[in-house]
Amino acid sequence: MPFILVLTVCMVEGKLINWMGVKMKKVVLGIMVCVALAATWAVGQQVLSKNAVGYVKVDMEGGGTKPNLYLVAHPFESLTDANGLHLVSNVFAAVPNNTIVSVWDPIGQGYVQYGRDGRGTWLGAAATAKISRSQGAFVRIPSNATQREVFLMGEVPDKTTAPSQYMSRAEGLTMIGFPYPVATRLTNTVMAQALPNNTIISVWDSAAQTYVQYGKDGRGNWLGAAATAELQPGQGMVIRNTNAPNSWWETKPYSWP
Amino acid sequence: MKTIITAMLVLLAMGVTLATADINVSWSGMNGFLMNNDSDPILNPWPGQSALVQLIFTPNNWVEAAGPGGAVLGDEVVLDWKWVSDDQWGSVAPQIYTAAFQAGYIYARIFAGVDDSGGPSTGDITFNHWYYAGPLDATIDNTDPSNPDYYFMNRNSSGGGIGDPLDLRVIPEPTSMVLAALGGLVLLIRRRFAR
Repeated sequence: MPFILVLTVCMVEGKLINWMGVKMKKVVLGIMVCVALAATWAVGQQVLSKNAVGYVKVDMEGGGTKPNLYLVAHPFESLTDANGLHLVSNVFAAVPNNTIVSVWDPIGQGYVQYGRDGRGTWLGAAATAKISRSQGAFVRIPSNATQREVFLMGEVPDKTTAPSQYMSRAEGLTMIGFPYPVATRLTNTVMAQALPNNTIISVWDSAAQTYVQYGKDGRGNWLGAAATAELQPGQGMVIRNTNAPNSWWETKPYSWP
Repeated sequence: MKTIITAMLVLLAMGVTLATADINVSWSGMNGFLMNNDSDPILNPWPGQSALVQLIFTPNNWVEAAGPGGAVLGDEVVLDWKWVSDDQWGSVAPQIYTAAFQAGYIYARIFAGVDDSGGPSTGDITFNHWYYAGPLDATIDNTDPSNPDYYFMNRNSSGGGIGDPLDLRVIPEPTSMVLAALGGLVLLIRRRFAR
């Protein structure tokens, strides 16, 4: 649209120039310059929308006498992977040796674990394992580890790449995160409506090393603190419900990008 | 000496085991509760009333009756408690309780609503006050905070709709029962000698 607009302005200017007695060659040259400018502008716009990147920083450290757990979910698109997946070893490159990353398998209802050994090498499948946007993961930091900064980084889901995101829940436990990198009130999400009654959502309190839980009662209302709870960017959560699986499309809660 | 060292090692091992043993439970009652008629909500009026809910430990495979004020009787211990008034059915939002492991059972109970203007008081839970006791679950030694056990208060079937009916009543405290019995005895004696 900006391209057409600029081209139109140039054509008008060309006519004006011609009326003023300037040679046609110059007019054509002017038009070509305008077209080039417009094309550059158009390309610039495209690049701008493609390159909205962001990050969420999560500080992680050991608990002194015991390991600490952190529950995260990557809210960004991958900048490199065609399928939008993130390499575990990239996302958690900053974690200390002997860290274990546990990803929930909703089908098998158990953890798939990836470990970094005492020399810093990601072992076995961990070297090539990938996680998707909004997939939850528990990170177990060894007790004696000093503070590390883990950056969940990537392209901000935009109106082209992810105006909405397909989400699903398994029978039993599911570990996910809100799929967009913006703080959002739980009750404003599509998920809040879509989850069956008697669902419990558990978010992890890293400081207290325990869950904070929110419940949707048997009548479909979110109880107590759930009514004002906000899901934070990069925060993972565990959804528990033994009803049959269901799915929903979570919609992007911001207008730009 | 060898025996002493072995005994010390065993005790040390037991100590380590005990130190890492936990009760780690998410407890809730998200279907809410109905009065004994299996129809009316337990908070009436609502807002205006709150209900006392307690998570209780017992070493025994049975549930003791509740005393006035929500007192526990026998060997029972209140592990956790709160007032609920999120909705008129006294639905209990999920919450995590963790503590050192004890072999035994847990259950939760909820009392009919009391006036909460100026703050609810356990003093309003008196003799004959209605309450509901959830099923007994054996305690589980669970040291994984990321994977708690779940205790659901609502597991009794109810024909009256969503929620379980309050079907139990608070009994007098033991001292009151003794006094009542003594009073009855005195009356009997007086009647006997009045003839």
